[in-house]
Amino acid sequence: MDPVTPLIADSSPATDPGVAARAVELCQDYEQKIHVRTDRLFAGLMGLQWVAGVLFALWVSPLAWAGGTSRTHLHVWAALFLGGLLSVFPAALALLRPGERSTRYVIAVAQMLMGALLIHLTGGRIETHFHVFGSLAFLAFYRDWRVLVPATVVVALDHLLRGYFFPQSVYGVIAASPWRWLEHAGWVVFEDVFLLLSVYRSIREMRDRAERTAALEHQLRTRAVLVEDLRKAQKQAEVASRAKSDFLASMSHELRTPLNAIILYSELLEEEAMDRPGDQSVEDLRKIQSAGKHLLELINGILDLSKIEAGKMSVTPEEFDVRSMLSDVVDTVRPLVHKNSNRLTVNVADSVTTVNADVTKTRQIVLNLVSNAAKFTRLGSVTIDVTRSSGGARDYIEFRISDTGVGMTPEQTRRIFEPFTQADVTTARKYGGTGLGLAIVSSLCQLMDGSISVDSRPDAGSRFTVLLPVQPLQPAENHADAAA
Amino acid sequence: MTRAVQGFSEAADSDNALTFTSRRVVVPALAAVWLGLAGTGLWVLWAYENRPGTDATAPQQWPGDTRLARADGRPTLVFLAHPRCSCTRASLTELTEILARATTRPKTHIVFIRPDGFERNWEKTDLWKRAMSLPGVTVTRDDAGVEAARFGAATSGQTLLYDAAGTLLFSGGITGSRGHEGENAGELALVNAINSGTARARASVFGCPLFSWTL
Repeated sequence: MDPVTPLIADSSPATDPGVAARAVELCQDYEQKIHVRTDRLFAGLMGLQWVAGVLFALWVSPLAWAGGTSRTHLHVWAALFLGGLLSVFPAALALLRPGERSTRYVIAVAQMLMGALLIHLTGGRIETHFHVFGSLAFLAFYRDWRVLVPATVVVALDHLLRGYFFPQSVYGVIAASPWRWLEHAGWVVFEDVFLLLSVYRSIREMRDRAERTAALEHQLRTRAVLVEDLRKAQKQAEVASRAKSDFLASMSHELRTPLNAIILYSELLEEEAMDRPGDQSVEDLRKIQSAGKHLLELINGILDLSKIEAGKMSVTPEEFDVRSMLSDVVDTVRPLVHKNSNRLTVNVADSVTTVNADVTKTRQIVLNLVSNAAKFTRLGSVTIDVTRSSGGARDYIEFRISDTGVGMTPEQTRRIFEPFTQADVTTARKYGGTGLGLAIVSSLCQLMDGSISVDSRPDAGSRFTVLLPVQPLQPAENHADAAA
Repeated sequence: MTRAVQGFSEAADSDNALTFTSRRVVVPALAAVWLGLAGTGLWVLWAYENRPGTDATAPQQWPGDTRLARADGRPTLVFLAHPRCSCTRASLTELTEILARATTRPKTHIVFIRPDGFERNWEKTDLWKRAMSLPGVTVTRDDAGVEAARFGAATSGQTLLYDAAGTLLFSGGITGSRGHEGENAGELALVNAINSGTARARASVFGCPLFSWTL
């Protein structure tokens, strides 16, 4: 099994000091948000407890009586003023200084004292003692174990002092053991243990999350840098490619002019030599012409390919008759077909009439494919099938050029449309050609919004299928395609 | 120019330092004051809660002039209360507990005083209804606190237990503090007195004054 290659192979995020520092920063940020949010929750709770305490006192013990006279019960004043004192200061800190450590410590103390007040107002009911345990659980929302310390100390002190001065109100006996407060405090510590575990796990999860986020940020940053580098490299490559194409285009032009002169003058010299019987230079002049024409073909190919790559090749659509264009092609390739003793068949469907496309480039595509078929087939057949088909919203004309020639292996088929590529290294020697023809054909097909595909098997022939749109895209369609 | 900017910077730093110091001092100082006030408030509340009312000067023998009937052959319990004293709710709860734990159920009178000048049914509060719901208990209205005076009671929640011979066994309250439910010395002593029929005990009573405010 191959090892998985990481997308980014630089320093591991887990060991990167920058990532670790970012994780700490994120964790602190999470903690601060939690502290602020919990402060605000407690500010609301303080207000609620205050109001609830006052309402409860007014309901249960509104008046203290002595015979036939009454006055406001001390519980009402305690709920109003002591409850207000216990609520307002921590609530103010929570609103004015949210997230500060001292704020949550004051809240912790206030919440426990509020518990003591509420327990008193309800006549020491055991049910109200759950306020203390609930408050401790609520304080654990801070995910700061230190907050539980002052809260626990307040509960312990409350029992210690009341147990010492008023033992009967706490323990129900006139004289209690001086250590009995430890039993009550012990139950609070018992809950603290679970809350501390919960806080510890929460913090660990928060740290894990911060580390994962920091690592992800690091990866995204690194990837963005990589993408930017790739974009720059691609731009540079495009500039270089365009410069190369410009150079080749101008160079080809400069080469073609003297080469045409060489071919032309060698033809003239050949004609003159042929007028002189026995002149031995005829064969040499023919070799010069052959070599010159091959070179010209190569230069023309390079020039076409360069133009396409440089984006300088334009398409000029015009209405033309497909059968007429095919007739020209057949006339051109007939000598080559006959030379290799092949049979050429052309089948044109009735639905094929005219198309609106670049006739020169269409002819170049078909001619190249039929020439190749004739060149690589001996004592066989070459067939041109032309039909009309629909693909989505557009109509296409389909040229299918089949032969019974040498064919290609799948590997050769895959590379056949690459420039300067032929089926194998012996092909050029055996059959000639520049290795640019199919690359140009493929590029022309793309330029005309068409496509080309090949199906071939060794010694069983090949079949090239070209699809070209019957009508060029309208500007609106172009726009829609671009938007899509 | 540079000097001026530098001076400004120093002043700003100094202000920041001052603010920082202020925060470090002001918040803890405020917290300390707040904690002191809260502690004082709670202490006042605890002191009130644990301050007993006036003890009864109950007659050692069942008073002859009372209209309450004493039981023959078993103890008689008298619970004297103010019908509007919120602290007495806890006392009634404890009384229910005591009666449930008594092996010999005493004849029980719950007496609610009604001071002069109040309309009819003034005493029919939730405490009255709750007392009425207790099985085997006689609930009585005490106009002008005449019966309370006969038994020497001065504080709501005063509980007295007389044995079968009419001798006082227990006098006191049956809550540990004012208005607080829960096990307490008075409750334990009373249960013991009922069940033994001989033990004598006293306990502090916590509740509203039956007649007038006390200092």
